[in-house]
Amino acid sequence: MSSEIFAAFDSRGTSATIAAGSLLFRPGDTASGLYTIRKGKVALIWSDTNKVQPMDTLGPGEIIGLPAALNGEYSMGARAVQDCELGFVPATVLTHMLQTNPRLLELVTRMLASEVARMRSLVTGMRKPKGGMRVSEGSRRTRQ
Amino acid sequence: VRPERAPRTQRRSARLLPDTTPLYRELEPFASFATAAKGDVLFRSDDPASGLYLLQGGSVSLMWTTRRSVRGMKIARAGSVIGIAAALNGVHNLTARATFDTSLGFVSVRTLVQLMESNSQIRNLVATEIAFEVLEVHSFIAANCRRIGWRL
Repeated sequence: MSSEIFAAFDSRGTSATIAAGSLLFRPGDTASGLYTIRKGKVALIWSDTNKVQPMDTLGPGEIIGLPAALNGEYSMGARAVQDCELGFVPATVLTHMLQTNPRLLELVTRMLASEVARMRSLVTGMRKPKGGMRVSEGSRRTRQ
Repeated sequence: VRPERAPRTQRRSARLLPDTTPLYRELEPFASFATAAKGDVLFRSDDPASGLYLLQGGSVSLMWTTRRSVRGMKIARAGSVIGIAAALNGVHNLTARATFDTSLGFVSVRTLVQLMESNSQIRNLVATEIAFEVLEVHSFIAANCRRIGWRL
């Protein structure tokens, strides 16, 4: 499932090269779209008290910022920990893709549901994230 | 508590609830409504998920059960949808308990899947709602990672 989603988004992504150490986005930034990782590694970071903490590290074949792109704002940060080649899919393109491709929307929905379960099970087991499909990055939104 | 099997209660239109989410409003016509008394458990962590709940009135406490404790995650208020990610995953990973006498709508997984297949608006709203759940989980962990035992 995850490879199909990655392929669908990556095929529409605009190529971007990011140097190691560069920030892709910060918590609170408006989510302009999602990123597919073609090469390199990206660390997701969140703030715990006054320290910046790594939450997870993602690599090739994984997607960053999908929930945020749906909701509008990044709640975590992302920093390249290696030189990276990424695909960038603007939120408007993402929305159009999901609205015109019910199969893709269903896959994305189920992947996000799995991410909810994965993170909750990590909490109940008190383990840090490791392995599995990572969709990364929550977002903030104002409920209507 | 199995609202889908309980006698129907009088349904209040979602328009009368001040803070219903868009997904609540879309699903409300397809829900079976019932009541739960204060203290009733709607579902427990690891229970099979047969559907989702629309919280029509009252409130429900959602709790994470860890090996060492039960930790409150949030209080769901009237107008919200509970358990949508679990409905798609097939299993609950939270425990839900009514904190007041509560009225609930129940939408079965089968109905939900049929609606998602036939209604693009509901498809979009479900995706958005679950994306928001991802946020809630990530935000909770960010705020509580030390207390829940992660060594960062």
